[in-house]
Amino acid sequence: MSGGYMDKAYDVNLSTGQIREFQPSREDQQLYLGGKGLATRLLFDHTRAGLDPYDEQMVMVFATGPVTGTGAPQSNRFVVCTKSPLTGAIGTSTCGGNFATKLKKAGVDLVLVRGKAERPVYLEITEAGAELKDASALWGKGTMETQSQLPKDFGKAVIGPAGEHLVRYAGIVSQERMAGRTGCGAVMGSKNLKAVIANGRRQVEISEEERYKEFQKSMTKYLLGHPMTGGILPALGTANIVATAAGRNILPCNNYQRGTDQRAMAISGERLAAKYLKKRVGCMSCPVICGRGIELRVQDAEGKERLAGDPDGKHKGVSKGPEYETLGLLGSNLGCFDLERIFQWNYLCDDLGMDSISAGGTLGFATELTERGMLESPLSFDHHEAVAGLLRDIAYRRGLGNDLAEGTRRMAAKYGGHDFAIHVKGLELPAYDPRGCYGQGLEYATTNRGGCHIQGATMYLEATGPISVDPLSTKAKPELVILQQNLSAALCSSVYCMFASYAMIPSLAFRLDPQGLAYGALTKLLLNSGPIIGLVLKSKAPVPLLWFERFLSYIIGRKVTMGEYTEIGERVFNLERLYNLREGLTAADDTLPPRLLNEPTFPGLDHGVPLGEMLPHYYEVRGWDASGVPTPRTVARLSIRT
Amino acid sequence: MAILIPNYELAEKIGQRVDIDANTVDELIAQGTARWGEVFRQAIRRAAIVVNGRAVRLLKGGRTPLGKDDTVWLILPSGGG
Repeated sequence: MSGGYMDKAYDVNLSTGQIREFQPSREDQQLYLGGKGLATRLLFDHTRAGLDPYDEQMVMVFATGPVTGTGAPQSNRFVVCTKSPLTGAIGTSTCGGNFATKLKKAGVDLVLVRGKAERPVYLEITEAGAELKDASALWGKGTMETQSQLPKDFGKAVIGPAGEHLVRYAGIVSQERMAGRTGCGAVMGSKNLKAVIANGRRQVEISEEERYKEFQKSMTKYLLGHPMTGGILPALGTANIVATAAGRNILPCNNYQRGTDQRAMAISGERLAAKYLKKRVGCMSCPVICGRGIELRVQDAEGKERLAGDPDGKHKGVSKGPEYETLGLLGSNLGCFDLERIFQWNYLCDDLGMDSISAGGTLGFATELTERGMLESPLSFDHHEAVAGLLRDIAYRRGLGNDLAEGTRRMAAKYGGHDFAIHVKGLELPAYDPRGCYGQGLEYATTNRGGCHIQGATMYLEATGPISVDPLSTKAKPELVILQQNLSAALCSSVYCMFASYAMIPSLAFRLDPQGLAYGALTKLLLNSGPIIGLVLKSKAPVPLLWFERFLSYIIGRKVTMGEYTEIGERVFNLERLYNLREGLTAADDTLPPRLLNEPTFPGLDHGVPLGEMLPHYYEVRGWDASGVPTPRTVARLSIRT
Repeated sequence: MAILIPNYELAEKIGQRVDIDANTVDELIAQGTARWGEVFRQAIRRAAIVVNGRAVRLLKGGRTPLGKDDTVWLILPSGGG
C-alpha cells in the first residue's frame, strides 16, 4: 500500500462470475490520479470504439481517488464512468453518500465491471475479497428499501426501478445522494447488477501524517469560517441559488422560455429553511452539511402513507429535501412553485433512481410539446397533477413514460420541437440559463459529458457567486472556462466535492459592496484577464497554491504543484474528448439548443448566447485544431496514450 | 411604476413584491429608505441591485432609468449546484 492508494482493484466479469484482482499502473496513477481520470483511462483501454452502452462487453468503473477515505474535508465521493446510454458520449457522474469511504476501507481503490449476469446480483466487497450474491429479492425495489435490506454498516451504491428498466437517465444512489447524470444506472441495470456494497476497517495510508493532520484542522476551520461553505450552504443548502438565479434572469422557467419568475421566492432556499427544514444532513467527513432534512409523508407500494426516512434509519422521520437543480428543473421549469409538490417529486426521483435534472428537462420539453399541440399528454405549465404519475411511468416505462424515459433528444426526434429541445449532446441542461451567463454557455457546449454545470461551474464566477464577471460579455470567458474545467477534472480525479472550490474566492469578496468601486475594479480586472489566464494555463506554477494540492501532496508523499494539478485536469479533460471523438462525436456537437442561441431573454438584445464568438478561441487556447480535435502536439505534451 | 422583488429576509418585513413609483434606481433607493428606514438600507448595502437581470453597475448605476414593469431584484451571493 502506498500513500492514498490501497493498491488493489477488482475486474468483475458478470457473465462468467470471475473476479480478478489487478492494479492500475503506477504511471497511470501519476498521470490520472484516480476517480474520473483513471476511470476514463480504463474505459478507453477496455472498450472498443462504437460499442453500445448496453452491450455485454461494455465496461463500467466505480472509482475512488487518493484523497477518498482520508477524512480530508469534502472528500467522500466516488465516480462512476461508462459510455452514456443517453448521450453516446463519455458518461461520468460523481456521488457522495457512504460508498466511497467504505470501498477504501475494504482495501479497494476501484472496481471495473463488465459482462452481464444471468440473474440479478449484487457485488459484496470486504477485506476478505469480492463476491457476487443473488439480488432476486431486491429486484424491483426502490433505492431506499434496497439499501435498508442490504447488510447494515456497508457502504452502498444501488439502482432503483429506473435503472432496471433502462431509463436512459437512471442514476446510482448511495444513502440519499445520487450519481445522477448521464444514465450510469441504466448501464448497471443492463448488467443485472442491482448494487455494489463494501465494508472494512482498513485505513488509508497518509505519507506525511503529522502535516496532514495539522492542515486538516486548519482547513476545516477555514471552510467552516468561509461565508459560502460555512455560512450560505449549511444555512440554506444548494437551494440558496433560487433567488439569485431568478434575479439574474437565469432560472429556467417553462422549458427555458423565460429566465425568471416573480414567484421564485416560493421555492427558495430561504423559504425551505424557514418553513420545512428539520435537520441538516451531510456526507461522511464533510463539515459543510448542505443537505436539507425535511419531514415528508409518502405512499408506499401498497398505498399506505408513511413518513419517509433515510435508508440507514439514522435521521428518524427525516428525508433529504431537494437540491437547487431539482427545484429549478422540476419546479420553475415545469411552471411549478409549490415546494410540497417538488418535495414529493424529488423523493420519487431518488427512490425510483433517476436524475431529477433530466427528468425535469424532459417533462418540461414534453409540456411545451403538449401546449403547442405536438403531443397528447396531461402535462401543463399551469397544472401539475399528472407529474407524479408520469415520473412513476417513466421509471417503469409505461405508456407515455416509455417515450419520456428516452430523454429530450430522442423525444424531439419522434415528436419534433428540435428548436426548443433543451439539451447538449443529449444531456438535459441544469438550472442555469446560459443566456444570462455566456461563459456557462460555452462550458455547456464544450463539456465532454454534455449539458452539465459542475464540470467547471463558470456560472459561479459570472452570475451566482460573490464576484460577477459581466455575464453578458464574451471577454476572458474561453480562458476562464478552460481553467475551471481543468480544475474540476482534477478535483473529480482526486476525488473532491466540487463545492470545495467555492471556498477559493476569499471571504473578503463577500463583504464588498456590489455597487462599490472596489467591486467594479475587481470585476473589470477579471474581465481583462484572459491573456494572463492563458499564460497561467500554459505554465506550471512551482508551488502549491490551493489546499487541494496540499492535501494531495501530504497524502501521496510527493509535492504536487498547482500547475501539475491543473495539468492532470487538462489531461483528463483531453482524454475524455478523445474518447468522445473515437465514439463519433464532432465539433458539431459543441453547440447549444437553438432556443438558447437565438431567442433573447434580456431587453434590447436580439440573440441568445453568442457561442460563435467564443468557441474558436476556446479551441485555440485548448491546443485543438479548428475541428475541435486535440493536435498531436497537445496529445504528446499531455502524455496521453491513444 | 417599477416592481421591487426584495430578498427573502427583507420580503418578510416589507412584502414579496412592492410597486414603487421611481424613475431611476437612485429614486427607488431614496423612496425605499424613506419608507422602511434602516431595514432597507442594510439590505441594499449587502445586495447586488439588478434591473431586469442586469446588475446596475453594468448599466448606469444609480442613474439607471426605471420604466413601467421593470423588475428590480436585490440579490445575495449564492453557490452550490
